[in-house]
Amino acid sequence: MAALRTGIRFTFGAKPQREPAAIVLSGACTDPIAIRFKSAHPSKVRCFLLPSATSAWTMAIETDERAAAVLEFYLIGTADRVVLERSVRVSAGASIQLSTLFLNGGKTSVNDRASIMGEGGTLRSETLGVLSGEDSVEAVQTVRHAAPRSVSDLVNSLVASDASQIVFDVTGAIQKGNAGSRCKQQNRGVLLGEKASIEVSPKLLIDEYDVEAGHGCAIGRINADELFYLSSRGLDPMTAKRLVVSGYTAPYVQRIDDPALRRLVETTLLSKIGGAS
Amino acid sequence: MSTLRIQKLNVSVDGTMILKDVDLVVNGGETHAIMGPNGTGKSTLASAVMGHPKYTIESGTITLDDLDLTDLPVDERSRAGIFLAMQNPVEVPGVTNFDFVKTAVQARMPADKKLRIGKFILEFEDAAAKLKMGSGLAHRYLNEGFSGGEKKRNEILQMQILKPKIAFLDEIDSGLDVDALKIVGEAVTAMKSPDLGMVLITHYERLLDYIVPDFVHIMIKGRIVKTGGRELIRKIDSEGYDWLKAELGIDDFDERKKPAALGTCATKVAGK
Ligand SMILES: Nc1ncnc2c1ncn2[C@@H]1O[C@H](COP(=O)(O)OP(=O)(O)OP(=O)(O)O)[C@@H](O)[C@H]1O
Ligand SMILES: [Mg+2]
Repeated sequence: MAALRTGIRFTFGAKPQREPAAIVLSGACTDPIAIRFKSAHPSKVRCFLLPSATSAWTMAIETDERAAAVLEFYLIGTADRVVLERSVRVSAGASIQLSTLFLNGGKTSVNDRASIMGEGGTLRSETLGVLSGEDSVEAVQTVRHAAPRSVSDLVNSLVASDASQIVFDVTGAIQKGNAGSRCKQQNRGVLLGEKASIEVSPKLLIDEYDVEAGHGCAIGRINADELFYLSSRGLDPMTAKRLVVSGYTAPYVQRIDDPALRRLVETTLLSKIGGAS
Repeated sequence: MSTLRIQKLNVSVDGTMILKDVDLVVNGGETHAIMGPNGTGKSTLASAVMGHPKYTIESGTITLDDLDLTDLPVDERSRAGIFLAMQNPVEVPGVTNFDFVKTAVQARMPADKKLRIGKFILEFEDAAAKLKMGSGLAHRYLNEGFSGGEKKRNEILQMQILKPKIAFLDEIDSGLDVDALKIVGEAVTAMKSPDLGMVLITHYERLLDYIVPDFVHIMIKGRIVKTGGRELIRKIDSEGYDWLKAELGIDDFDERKKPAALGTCATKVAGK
């Protein structure tokens, strides 16, 4: 598939990076965005999405062969409606690590389509969604293995408090002939509000014998016995909830090496969980 | 020295009366053992003192020194000095053992004081080493995938670090092998002091060889029916509870275990 002909184009990995690159997109952006990773040097890119009223972003992310990229997305702020469409194409021997933090408010819908096009291509995607109030995230994630020995690993960590709604539709597909591939997905979530809901539909479509594939899904409430146990050691209900939620968020927060960004993420998370009942 | 005073405590679960007029006084420095058949209400007593919302206190009071605990939430009872080592410790995935204990320690510190983390780590590791827990357990998720014995040791570790005034240890010996029983028994015995009153709930004499009780209470059908010294332990170990039931004229006719056809009649007998 040809790269986008119009829109905004970013290229990384041609020159060595001294520190992570940052892309900031704010407001309602209609131009498609193309991000390309070259293989000369590993790249790390932070992409901040700051939506307003209604924002729609379309992105095409591509790698050269053997490129190595870390790409972080931070959705921050409140908007009525956010639509995010990302297509990711991983070439032979390339690896891309995607991390996406939904820290925003409002209604968000996400459509992610990833294809591993080249032999030995690797995609890791980790998503954290912490929602409160009446916010919602509806996400469709699809990974298509179109090459032998391709690897995908999806992790979704979801926290819904108040009356927030999270729906994740996650599909991993290994097409015939792509032996030696590994396709894994893991979804976990915790409900903190009586009216909150998390729905995850994991799917694996495997058309080849010699592969590894698996999915795990664990969604639950903090139950009375769990809360009793934590309280019996002196934790008040709010601290107990925060502790349980930190089990989901800590791995994402700890990875952020920029102190200011880390504080921003921490306080945003706290404000969402702090409002949980 | 603190005193826990349980007076005329009546507790129900889902509308079924479990504890009936339980009286118990535990002073700092004392070790009490509660023994009794399965399903008799021992764990219910411990949970009711800790404040589990499932258990309803129908009447009676629980006080710790001058503080009335009866209507306090669980966390406040804990911070007041009550501890419960649970029969079945709950698994909490995602939360590391270390972070949990640290949070629990911070929860009982005055707001203007900060935890000295270095000192805390040493204390944690020291306690874990004494219980032969293996250093890896600190950074594993709270009780998740812990063996039965590891969970029980973890309860004792928390008790050592939280330093309660009154501790209930509910079947801390179940799931422990002979060596672990000795380690746990010695660790608990080492904690004996005028600052700690303990209530051990157990079925076995063995634990009480390591942790010697001053008082032994027998609970049957939700009542403490006999209180004595260590001689009771031996007798129960060799003869069970039947002699006591006979002596006290306790009817073994349990409504809950009877076939439905006899149910109405049995309920009347038991409910009298
Ligand atoms: N939700 C409930 N509804 C009705 N009865 C209950 C409920 N939960 C517990 N019980 C009953 O309460 C009684 C006391 O239980 P408890 O766990 O206190 O016994 P125990 O003495 O600790 O027994 P064990 O030695 O087996 O641990 C039991 O008969 C149990 O079946
Ligand atoms: Mg019990």
